Amino acid sequence: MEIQGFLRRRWSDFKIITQTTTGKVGFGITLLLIILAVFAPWIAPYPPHAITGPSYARPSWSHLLGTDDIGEDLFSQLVWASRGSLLIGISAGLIATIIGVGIGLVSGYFGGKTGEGLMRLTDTVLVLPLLPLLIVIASIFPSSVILVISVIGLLSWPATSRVIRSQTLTLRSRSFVDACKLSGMSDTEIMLKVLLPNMIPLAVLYGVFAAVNAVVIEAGLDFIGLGSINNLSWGTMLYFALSRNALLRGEWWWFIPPGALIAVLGIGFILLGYGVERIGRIRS
Amino acid sequence: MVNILASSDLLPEQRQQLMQQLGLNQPLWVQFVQYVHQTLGTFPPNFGYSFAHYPLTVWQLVSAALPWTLLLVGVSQLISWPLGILFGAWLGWHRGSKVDSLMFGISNFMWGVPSYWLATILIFVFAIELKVFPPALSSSGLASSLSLAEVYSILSHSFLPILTLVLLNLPQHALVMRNTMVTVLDEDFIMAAKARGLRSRTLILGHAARNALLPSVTNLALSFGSILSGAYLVEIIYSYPGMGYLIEQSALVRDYPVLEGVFFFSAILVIVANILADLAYVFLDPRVEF
Repeated sequence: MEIQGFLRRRWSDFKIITQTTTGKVGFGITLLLIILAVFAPWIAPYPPHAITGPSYARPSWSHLLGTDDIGEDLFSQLVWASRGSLLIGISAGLIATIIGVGIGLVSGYFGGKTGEGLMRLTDTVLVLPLLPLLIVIASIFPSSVILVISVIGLLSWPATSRVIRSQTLTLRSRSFVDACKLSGMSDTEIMLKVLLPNMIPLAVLYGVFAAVNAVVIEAGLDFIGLGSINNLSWGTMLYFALSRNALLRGEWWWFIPPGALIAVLGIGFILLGYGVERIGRIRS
Repeated sequence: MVNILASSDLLPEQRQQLMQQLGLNQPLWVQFVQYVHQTLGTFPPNFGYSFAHYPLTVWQLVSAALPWTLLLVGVSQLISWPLGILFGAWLGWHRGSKVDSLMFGISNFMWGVPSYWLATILIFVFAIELKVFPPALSSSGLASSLSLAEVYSILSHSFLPILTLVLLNLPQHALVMRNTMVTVLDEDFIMAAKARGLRSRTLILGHAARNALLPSVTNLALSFGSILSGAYLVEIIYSYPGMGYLIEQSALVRDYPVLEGVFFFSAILVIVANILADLAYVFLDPRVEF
């Protein structure tokens, strides 16, 4: 019964998301990208680093987006690279959301000195410019995707925590919270079981923005050659396209698709985020 | 740094001398105290010496790059913010129209468009295919004299970087303004103003937009960090001699003092932007006092 109820609630959530055009588009794009990443070995015609043709081939039926300087198929690389970018976006977004929701809930619920202190911490993290810091870190430590994900995640939570805090401040004064207190629930229980479920749609919306930002910034780091070059991502594809002079030779099929897919991932995630946020507005 | 020195071709005596000059043979905490002393004890604070351009101090390098970044970010925001505000106000008034939903899509799409990718495409179209603008600013073009030819050169070289940032930021400013406008337009005083028969122009600009302006200012200040990150990447692509280009060049040669200096000043820039936003509140909202 428990599982059935859970599934029924998720099904109704899904219907709310896909009621609007934006929600449909967002869900569709995200689903397509996930399929692309999961089934990359079957979708991509060649392994990403196999030499399968002449170098600098123009797009053709055997190589949809041509080949690079050593004859690797660019379309296959594009498909495989979706894994890296999705992983980075989702994990950095998750880290940022968990920290942001935690800090927002605690500072909004307890208020007072704890709340003020946490908000000053939020303000401090908010003014740290992400890209310069990542460049400094990339030049000190050996390049690693996990490090980049953690740094982006650890610095992208302030927006979430601000919104969650103001939401908590409104909800805390409602009578059902008092009722829970009187019925003997502890503060932790109220925060996790009563307040948190109401916050999830809003937290998803802000987490989505953090995720998109993470993908763009990480690809940027790869692009300027300070990421990990061995890790196949849309950013490293752009880096190789430019360092192999695709611009001067006019090979637009090399440098346009990776950036376009980053932007498509962005709008897919964001529109899905708006859809999820609708659940919160409809339920309340 | 010590490792780099150890692996380079310097004679042992030369290495010792260099490490002495840079203070690298001291314990870490002594180095830190020296750093703070150098930073605060001198005027103007020099922030230590650059490893890569040794006799130059970090301050000299940063102060040469800072005006370029201020020019790029300042001009692009001066163009994109007011236009975004006006456009957003217009969209809020015409909410639900075709243009409104189209802009909603474009703004959200622009959110995920990487600045460096847009810059690449603009270079490809305008500099390589059409040859209207130079692809990158050569450092030789940076003479200090401000002759007419010099100003023209700076303008033509800055045009594409500025255009990139305007294209990226304008839709975002417009979206924020549009959303605030929609909220403000639902309020009672707008209804009252409508009932008084005000012209829609006065109503939009004088009543609704004026109130919707405040959240837009806050948002501009809060997103200044990411605007700056985007600008740095754009600088790197165009070899535009600002802070972003400086930090990238320093990262490639592991010039740690300069890296720290640029990071420090980037954070200062964001803080200054937030202070300016707070000051702007006093002018925009007569209810706010110090």
